[in-house]
Amino acid sequence: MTKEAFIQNVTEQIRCVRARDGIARELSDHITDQAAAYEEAGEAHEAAVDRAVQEMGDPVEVGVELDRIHRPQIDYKLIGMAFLFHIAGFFIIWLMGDFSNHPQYIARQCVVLLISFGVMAGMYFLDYSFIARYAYGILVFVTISLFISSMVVSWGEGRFVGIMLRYLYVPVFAGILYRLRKGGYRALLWAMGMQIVSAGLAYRVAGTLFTAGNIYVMCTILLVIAVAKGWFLVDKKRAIGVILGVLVILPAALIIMKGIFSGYGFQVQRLLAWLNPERDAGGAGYVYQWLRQEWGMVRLVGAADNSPLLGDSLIGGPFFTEPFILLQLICKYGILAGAALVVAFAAVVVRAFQIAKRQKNQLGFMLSVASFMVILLNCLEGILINTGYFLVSSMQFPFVTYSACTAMTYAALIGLLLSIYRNERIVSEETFRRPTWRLTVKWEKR
Amino acid sequence: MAIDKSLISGSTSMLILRLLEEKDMYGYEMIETLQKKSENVFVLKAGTLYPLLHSLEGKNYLTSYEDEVNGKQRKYYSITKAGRKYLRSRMEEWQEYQTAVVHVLGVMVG
Repeated sequence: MTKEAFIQNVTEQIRCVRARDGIARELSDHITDQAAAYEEAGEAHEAAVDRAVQEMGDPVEVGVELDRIHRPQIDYKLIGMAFLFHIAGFFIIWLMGDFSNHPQYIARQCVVLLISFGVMAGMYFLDYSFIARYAYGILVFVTISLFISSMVVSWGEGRFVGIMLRYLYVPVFAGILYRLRKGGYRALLWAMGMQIVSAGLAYRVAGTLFTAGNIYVMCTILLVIAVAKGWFLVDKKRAIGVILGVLVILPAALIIMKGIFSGYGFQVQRLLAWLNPERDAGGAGYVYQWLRQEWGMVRLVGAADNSPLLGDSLIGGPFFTEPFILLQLICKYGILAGAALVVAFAAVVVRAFQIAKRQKNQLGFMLSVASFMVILLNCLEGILINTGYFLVSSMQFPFVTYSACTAMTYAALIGLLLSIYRNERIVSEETFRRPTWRLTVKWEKR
Repeated sequence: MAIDKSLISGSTSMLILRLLEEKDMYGYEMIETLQKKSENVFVLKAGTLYPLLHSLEGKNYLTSYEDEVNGKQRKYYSITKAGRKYLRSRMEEWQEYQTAVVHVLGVMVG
């Protein structure tokens, strides 16, 4: 049997096409090395290769064994959760949205649900490495989508339509980082520039400073992880120092300086209102006072007494109704119902963390960390906002959203996590770590 | 000396992990080193080695990376922290087993 026939026989047993190339290369290298050793011992080239192939064992047995190891795996836990929570979310939106008085929205929400499942399935079956391959193209695509969505008002979501869509900059930034690995200090500087571009675009195209800040923080974390994992082949401590210095301390100093000299009227007012709602009870502090009142009325089980939120519908209600859907649920059905929703969010966050933690594939790891951070941060901020412990801002929870863009963004992130888990055993690649040095001394007879 | 395969098969992963504890190696290098160290007692087939390596990598006991040495691209394997921990437990297990076998054989010979 020839070397090529042996490798073909092995790879034919492996059902996952993407796993084949790496295995074929490794086996081919082995046969070449073995044959070279036999040749060195005095055998003729062809006989040496034949013997090396024979030494490999039965190709079908080897292939079947490798197929067992490299088959795609399905994360039933996350699929189950995603399916269940999407359906539950649909009914929560139904109840909160007062659909009995707005039947035309039922069809709309059904379409949003179906699109979410479609996006999730699409991401699941796609080879996630496309995010690294086309990172810059996707960056442009997300920016254009944001630009278009910021102009769309027909679905009643106004300028908040693209809030979640902006968070797609985070996994895209992870893809950019992957492309820049092994690039040294120049690539590191480029990555820092791209981080500012991502957060800047999120702010400029259709955003609020708050969301841009979130994206900026998450990109910083990804960049520090990439440096710590040795992606840039630079002095890690020095590089992390530079990142923290330039990307954290400098903007912070700029914000403080700007606040001192030209003022941050709106932001400062918001902050003061949060810290002391009584100070401007009729203005910026109103929402925090209202939150306190609502929490004073809620019950463990059942509807709150005289809660103003009970009369509010998600559709046609005040602009902040959607971020407060958790509180609205609690007001309508009690603290236990809200706690169940929080447990659902926590379950997804924990599963996302577990998937990220077990990734050996570098790109898979970085993308799953990006997805995990986006879901975690939004859930955490959402819960804190609903309980009055955080500045009220434009955030949206997963699953319980009226926004098609938000639903699709979360579906894409969950689909991405499923795809990473699915390909975990298939894609095994270099980890960009080189031995610190390797000395080879050769003795040649002349 | 030819050794019954069943005696080796159970401990192959332990032997591979022990080799990688000393330094990172590629597949062919592992077979060579194992053969030399065992004075030709352990002659591992590539068809056994690679599925084992990939399986250990799947369990997070090993990681792999590619490196160019003498103009050739090689896939190196490196033992992880979890791999070292697993190796320690397997070695303790092996020590216990070996002591028990020696005791029994010793008693029988005696």
